[in-house]
Amino acid sequence: MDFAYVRPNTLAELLELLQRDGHVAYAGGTDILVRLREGRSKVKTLVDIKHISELRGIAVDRQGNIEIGPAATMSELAGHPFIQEHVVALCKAALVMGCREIQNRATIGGNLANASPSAETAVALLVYDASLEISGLGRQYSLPLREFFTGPGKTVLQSGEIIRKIRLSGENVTGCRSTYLREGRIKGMDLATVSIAVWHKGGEVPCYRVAAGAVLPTPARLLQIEEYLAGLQAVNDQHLSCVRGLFGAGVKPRMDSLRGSPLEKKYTGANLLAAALREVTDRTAKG
Amino acid sequence: MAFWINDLYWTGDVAEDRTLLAFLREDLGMTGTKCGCQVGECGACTVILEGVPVQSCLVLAVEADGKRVETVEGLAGETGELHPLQAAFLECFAVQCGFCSPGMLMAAKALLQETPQPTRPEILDALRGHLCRCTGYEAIVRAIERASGR
Repeated sequence: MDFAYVRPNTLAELLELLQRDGHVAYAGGTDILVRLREGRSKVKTLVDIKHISELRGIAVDRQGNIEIGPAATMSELAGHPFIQEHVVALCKAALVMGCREIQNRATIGGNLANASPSAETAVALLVYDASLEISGLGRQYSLPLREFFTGPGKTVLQSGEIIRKIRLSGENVTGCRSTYLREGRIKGMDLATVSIAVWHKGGEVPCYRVAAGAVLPTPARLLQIEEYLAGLQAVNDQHLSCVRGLFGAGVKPRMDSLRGSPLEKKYTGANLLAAALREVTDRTAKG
Repeated sequence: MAFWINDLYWTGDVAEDRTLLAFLREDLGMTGTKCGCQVGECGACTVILEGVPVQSCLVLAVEADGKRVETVEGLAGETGELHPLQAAFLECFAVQCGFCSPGMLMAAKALLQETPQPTRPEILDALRGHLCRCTGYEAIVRAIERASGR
């Protein structure tokens, strides 16, 4: 491996450095170091984002609005009491990714920017309608996470830009339930064969959101299923049967995935979706 | 850079593109930590960095600057008495070729620091990133249970 390493202390320094040729943001390193080792990367300089305080940390205000820095690790997310209690899908996604050691290094910003079709935190954040703040030298804008992924491994990030903040709004958090379920090929560490996140807000007009990973070119919301479920006070077996069918019809797993045939992914995914819906509508459970 | 490696405080220069694993094994001659897959899939290179287990093949040596690193060499006492985990691994036959053992020991040490009496599922979860070709894992899990006093 042959590259340089720099460690800026401020966001301004970081953004300036990222303008330079071959300079990329370096967070947990669990994706980029593998690519560098396998010779699949043209990176010349790693610019460490982890020493910039405004890019770290998880903040929650009284209304339940959450701000997460891109350098927050999976372990930090899963260990945060508010996230554990109120953003269950994200907590579960963070705990299932990789293994303990990876979770201690892998960051949420890196997971999103790497844009795998099975990015675990992306699937969870999509059902929370998260938004991103993106910064480059001299520019800054906000974007719903829904619009961030453009293809497998591809995002709207231009060269020199980084995710500066991940935001969840209180109205999507308070009084809402969620879960995240996934299957891999083995019990040990593996990328997901298929993953499902479900979010539910009860009340007079119940609302549901569903997202899936590893079954479409990007992590994505399944709007047809959401429309079908909208307004249902309870979800019975007939509804679930219909939802399973909608799932099979609504996803497009690729033929040559290492982790499962399209049929396996559709079948398993449909089962996970049904289980997830049962979980978030279970009146006997706490929350 | 300057950092704590077990009981030693080390200062010196480090190449920027050196992984912590390569630095420990080749620059410091501490070959207790093993080099397996180099891509974060086997756990053989696990060390404890600032109290949490990480795969040293995916950490740059320069990132240890100002931090505390613990490796398997630091487990035994000064006079050579075995750490309870090491003793338990031997008693339970959890070491065959020994290649996964340093990584397993460090992951176990970090687990017991955080969860002194882990359940079996918690042990399995802590070892999820560790491969062993010899033991079939059962003896390792039992060793950790024994070291935790269960």
